[in-house]
Amino acid sequence: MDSRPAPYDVDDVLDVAQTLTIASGISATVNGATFNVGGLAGAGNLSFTESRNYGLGKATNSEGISLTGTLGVGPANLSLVDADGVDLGSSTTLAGGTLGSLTGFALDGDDEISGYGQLFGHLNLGIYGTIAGSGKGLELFGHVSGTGSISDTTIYGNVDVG
Amino acid sequence: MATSTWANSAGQLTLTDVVIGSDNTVVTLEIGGADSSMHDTITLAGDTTLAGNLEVQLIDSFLPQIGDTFSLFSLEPEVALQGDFNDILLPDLATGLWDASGLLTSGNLLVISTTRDPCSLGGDTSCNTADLDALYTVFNTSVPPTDALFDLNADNVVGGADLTEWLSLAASINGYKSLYLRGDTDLDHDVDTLDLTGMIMNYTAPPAAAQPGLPVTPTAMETQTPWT
Repeated sequence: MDSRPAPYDVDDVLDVAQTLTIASGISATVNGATFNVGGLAGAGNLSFTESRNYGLGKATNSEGISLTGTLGVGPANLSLVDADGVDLGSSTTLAGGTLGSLTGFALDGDDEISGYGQLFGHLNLGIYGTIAGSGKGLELFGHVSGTGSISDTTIYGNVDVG
Repeated sequence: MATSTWANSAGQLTLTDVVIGSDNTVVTLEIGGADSSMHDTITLAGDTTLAGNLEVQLIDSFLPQIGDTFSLFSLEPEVALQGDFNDILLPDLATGLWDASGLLTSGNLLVISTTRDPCSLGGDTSCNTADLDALYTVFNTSVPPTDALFDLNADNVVGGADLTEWLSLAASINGYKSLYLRGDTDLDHDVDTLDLTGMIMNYTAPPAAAQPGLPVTPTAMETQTPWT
């Protein structure tokens, strides 16, 4: 992917068992019906534009989903799979979509989740994590831990500060 | 690899326009010391709807002492707080009692004495008129912000019931078998002309009394001296 000019569009099918690394400066947009990758990494930008269901990562891979860039969930329903939890990147945005992980999500530094939609899975804010809902707001259906800030959000799980 | 360990340290969380959407939610705050850097804090910076339970846990082998105050919530001005916690679960204390009555107003969780000391109100150890003077300075106020020390009957209000309680407790401590009567301004366990003289010397007519038809607010002295 690094050898191709940005932006990179996946309009049809991408089905690979390996980890897809999106390098810094690269933007990839997923429009197609199938986007299966064994893992997801890198400091680039990945965004979804269609209201489709996608599953990324492997339950046996502890490095399955480890992003430092941005993830645009948009209206999609993303199920992220990682053996010991999903590391989200600097910015994760939802626009009516859902984001789920059975092993939970973790933010690092001043990472942020924003927009409107639903998050399924425990969420560790880290030290300065930010949840910033907008429009119809965000709904968190898992437990929330850590320190940071939460706004325009409905929390259905437990809250453990610190 | 995610660092998804659960919190077990002091931290700060700011909530702005947040709704706790489930009665099953448990909000956990940890206390590892009296200093604000050693316990969790939630800042309510925007309208917040509460539900579920609040659970306070002690960490780092910390043992709260009588007089400790923990500012667990910080409510910024103009914030509208809706709902409430169904229950507040507090850990056992080795000494004292928790006072969570002001948790969602002042934001403070206090450790208070199991026995209220009526003689300490005036700043010394004896039961005397200094205690009454101190009591009247906070008469008809709520606890908190008024120190729970004055709330002798633990109803979160400092008022006539606390005065009655003080007159009973102080008389007993000072060796009398019956309570001090209201009007016993010198606390000699007798309401007599000395008390009346003292009241006359200290009497100040309320300003509103000069305006017929307006209700008259009793002064502190009058409040203390209805021979009823």
